[in-house]
Amino acid sequence: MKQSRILVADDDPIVIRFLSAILRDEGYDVITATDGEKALQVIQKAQPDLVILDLVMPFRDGFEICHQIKASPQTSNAAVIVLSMKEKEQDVVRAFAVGADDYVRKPFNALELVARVRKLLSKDRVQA
Amino acid sequence: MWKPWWMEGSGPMHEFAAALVYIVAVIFLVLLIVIVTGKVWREIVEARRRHKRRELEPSFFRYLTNQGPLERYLPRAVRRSDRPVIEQIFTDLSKVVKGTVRARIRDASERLGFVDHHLQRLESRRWWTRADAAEKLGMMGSEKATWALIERMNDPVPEVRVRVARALGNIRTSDALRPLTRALTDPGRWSAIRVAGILIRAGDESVQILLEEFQKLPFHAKISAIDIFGRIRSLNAVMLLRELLRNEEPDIRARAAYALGSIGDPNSAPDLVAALKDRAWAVRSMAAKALGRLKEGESIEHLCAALGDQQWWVRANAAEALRNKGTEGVDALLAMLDSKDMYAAQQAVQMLQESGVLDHLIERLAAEDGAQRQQALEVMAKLVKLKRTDLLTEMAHNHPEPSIRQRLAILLGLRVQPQTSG
Repeated sequence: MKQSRILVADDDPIVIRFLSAILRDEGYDVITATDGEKALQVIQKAQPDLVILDLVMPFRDGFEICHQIKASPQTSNAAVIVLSMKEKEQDVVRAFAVGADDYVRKPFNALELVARVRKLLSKDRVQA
Repeated sequence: MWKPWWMEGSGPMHEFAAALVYIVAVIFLVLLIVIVTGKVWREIVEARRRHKRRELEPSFFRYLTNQGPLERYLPRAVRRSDRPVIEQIFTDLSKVVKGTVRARIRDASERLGFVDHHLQRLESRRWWTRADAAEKLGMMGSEKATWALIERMNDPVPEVRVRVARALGNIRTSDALRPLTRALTDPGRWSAIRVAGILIRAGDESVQILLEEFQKLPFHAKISAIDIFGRIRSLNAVMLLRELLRNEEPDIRARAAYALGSIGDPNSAPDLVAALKDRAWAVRSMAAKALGRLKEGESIEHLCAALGDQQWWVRANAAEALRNKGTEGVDALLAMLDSKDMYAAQQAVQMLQESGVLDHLIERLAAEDGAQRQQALEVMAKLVKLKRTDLLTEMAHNHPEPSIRQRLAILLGLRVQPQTSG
């Protein structure tokens, strides 16, 4: 079976390193980006199956990236989990409005996040 | 042979100048060596830490997301020089994770002696060391630190007390939170706002403690506690807040009404309706505001009655509450234009104008549907009767649609030159 590819886009290095480590242990192929511009480039080039996306990043914010992922035919199938410190109702609503599949607030429960990743990727497989 | 200027000539002044130049040059050289050596040393230490971190981090990540003792996941025994690196990993990570991983960080911090180390630092004579120790203990979240932190709540330095309070808020057990509720009672030494902020972040755990302690709190701490209930929006506090609407202190009744509005439980509507008749206008005003936030329609007629209150704030909040009730509320505001109570009718006009309902109705004067046009005309006629013609007069002169200008001009008895649209 093809190994699912996950992009972790976050400007906090500890989040990147921690999520990369635990997702690799789960058997996923993990790529990373530390700013919005780089995240968009990686998404176009590597076409991940799932993106874990921070909302506040340099150059491009997560809302814009999520919108672009879902607007492009090449990447629209990628599931997006927003992982953000933002906890206001309107931010959550806006994230879902631009196409996010799930929203997880920081500080986050790592095991719960992995379970959500697993669930979304298995759903994608069934749909594919 | 060429010589620099200070080597030329002779005499005591020349020797003094030469000596001065030498001394300054030597001082600069020594300083340069110290700075460069220090920088190189820091770079080396930093590089070694980065290397250690790269080496240790994966093992700790594996430990944090799995089960079993720490030793099972470590590549080797922890050395003394590893400790700052491990502590930094835990500190960075504890800011972004919660749940099991956070609990594993706490267990490892206890096991590796970090908690004991910071408990010792908490007794330091230097206040910044105590403050840093409190912050680290808070991040580790160890219950073992609770009592030492509680004792430190009497620290003479405010910064230490604030960090201790934050640490207790992070530990979140009832033992840790209870002293924070008591800290609300000491406004002379504590900033109530900062303590309240910590209790709010602790969420439902602090609601439970505050409910238990509430009757023992002095007046100003009760006020803070009520605000915290409202900010956390805890349904567990609704019963107490409903009772507090009958408290003898008007400030407590008003704050309780506001908090009930923030929580938004529709079951509190009957008590808030009763509070619309409170003898203190601040309570009536807050009750009206709160009712506007509840998703229910039973209070509409009572809010309409409150539009005739003697106090402007009560009328304004009642009108805003009616607007927040959606179509039903707007219909009630329109019906209030017929009220014999002039205060109520005028307040209704004000809110209809502010919320854009009147603009919408003016547009309907050009509607193809005759019934809609008639309804709009009737409302306009009521406004004329109430002598609230400012908006209508402006529209009679400036509205881009000629038929609307004409209808309004007739209604107002104005002589307006018919204009072509566009």
